[in-house]
Amino acid sequence: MTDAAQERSIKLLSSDNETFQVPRNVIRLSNTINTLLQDLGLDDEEDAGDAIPVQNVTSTILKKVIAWCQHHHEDPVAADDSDSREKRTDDISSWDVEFLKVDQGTLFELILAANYLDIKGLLDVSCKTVANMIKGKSPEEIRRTFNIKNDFTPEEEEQIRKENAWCED
Amino acid sequence: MVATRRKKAETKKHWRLACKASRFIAILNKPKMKHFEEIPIEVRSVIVDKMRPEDRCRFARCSRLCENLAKTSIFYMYGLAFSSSTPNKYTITVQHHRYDRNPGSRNQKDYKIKFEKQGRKKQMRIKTPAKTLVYPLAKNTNLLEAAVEKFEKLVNDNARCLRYLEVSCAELDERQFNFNEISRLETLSMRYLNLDLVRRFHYPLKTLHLGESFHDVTIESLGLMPYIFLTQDMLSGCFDFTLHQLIQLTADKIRVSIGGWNARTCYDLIYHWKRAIDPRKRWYSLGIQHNPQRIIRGLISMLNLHIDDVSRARIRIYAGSFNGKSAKLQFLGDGIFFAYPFEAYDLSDNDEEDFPHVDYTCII
Repeated sequence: MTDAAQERSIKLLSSDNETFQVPRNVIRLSNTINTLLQDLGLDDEEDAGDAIPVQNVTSTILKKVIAWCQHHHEDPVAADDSDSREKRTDDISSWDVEFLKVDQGTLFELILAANYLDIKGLLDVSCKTVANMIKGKSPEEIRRTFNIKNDFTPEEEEQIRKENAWCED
Repeated sequence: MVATRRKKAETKKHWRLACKASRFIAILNKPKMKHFEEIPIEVRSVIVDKMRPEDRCRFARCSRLCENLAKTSIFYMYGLAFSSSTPNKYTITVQHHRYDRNPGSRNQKDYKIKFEKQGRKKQMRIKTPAKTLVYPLAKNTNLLEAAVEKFEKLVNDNARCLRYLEVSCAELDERQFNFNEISRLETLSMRYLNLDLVRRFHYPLKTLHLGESFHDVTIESLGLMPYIFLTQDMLSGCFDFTLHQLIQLTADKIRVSIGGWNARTCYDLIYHWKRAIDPRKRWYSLGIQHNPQRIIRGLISMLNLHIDDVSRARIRIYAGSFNGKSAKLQFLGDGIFFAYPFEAYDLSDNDEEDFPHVDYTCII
């Protein structure tokens, strides 16, 4: 990507038709947008042109996603979180913790948006936040938290409780 | 005056009504909140992948969908082994890994299921890192049969997350496993060679680990196999072929296990093997179990490999456990793992006697 390309802005169009002007070097965190611009050869064009439709993301969520990218666009590229490394959920920065203090619906929307836009960092912290919400909770509490319907028969429930008993510390 | 007051009150009333209505409309227009079950499966897997093992266990108990998710994307079972070393005591060893795949990683949870006779009573004892659960068995229970059944059930129930399967009991060879479901198996370990069993795996296994007691093995039958995990037994002189012949014919399939080997055998193996194979061109792994750190160091220095060479040779060194203790794996680069025991190993014993040709200054 050239310096000129870095400096210019990209227009994004949310699913509810709101347009957002985002600096190119901020939205580079989205692999989906990056690939799109490169594949269509739009990266070197002076004019931002038409807005890129982001059909799966509403304006409220897109605004938040852009805010996250704006805060993190200068972060060093994270090492690949490969399977070989121990994964942790207690390493979320205080800014991200505050940023993700949203209702559950918004959090899930953010996860979906991060997945759609392929923003690895955002997907990582938002998934960690959900995993933290489960930490230490009983199955009943998890069901209540995530509105999960228990579809086990009592026998199945007992069986699976026994199977997983070894894990209870 | 009264009219003005009334007008003001009406305006206020209208305003309040309008506020209520707009709030109501806002509620109606608000997009429906997404629930966990509406999130695409690949994203849910990412979330579940971040959970601690104990949280995953509780999560698995929430619903069928959660259980399915927990089993397929979470508990990659590394080892499921069955041994019948002592009469009236049969042990199934199960290893679960948190994120999978590194044997010996700190995220591992082991448990053992023992079918045993305690005095007059027969029982199934599940020993976990935290506690032991004891289930009494009926007097007329055949312990071996019960253990085999439990093992079969464990394998079949966890087929999709099974990575390693040890079939170390003749009775198990006859059993039916859900072969179509066992789609992630990487290593099949057998004490008694059963080629039919090997052929049932219609996808490529990464490793075949052959143990003792297969006197009918021929070099041709080994040639049929995808990979060969050499063990000490293969060098014990009970076969019709020599190590040299084996290396000549199946060099690119060979992986080496030095589990439980003495230093001299390790040296012999590596010496012959090194002559047959340029380690920089071959993909091989050294599976090291129950062996001290010095063996790894010795092997590496015997191969005259530096870290760069190791990287180029794509050697993967891993460890299951060191003398029963969990091992810590240090990731050093693409596909390279070096294993260290958690507790500092006493290196004061006689390394030099074991490896007279080794430069022990080699630090990994």
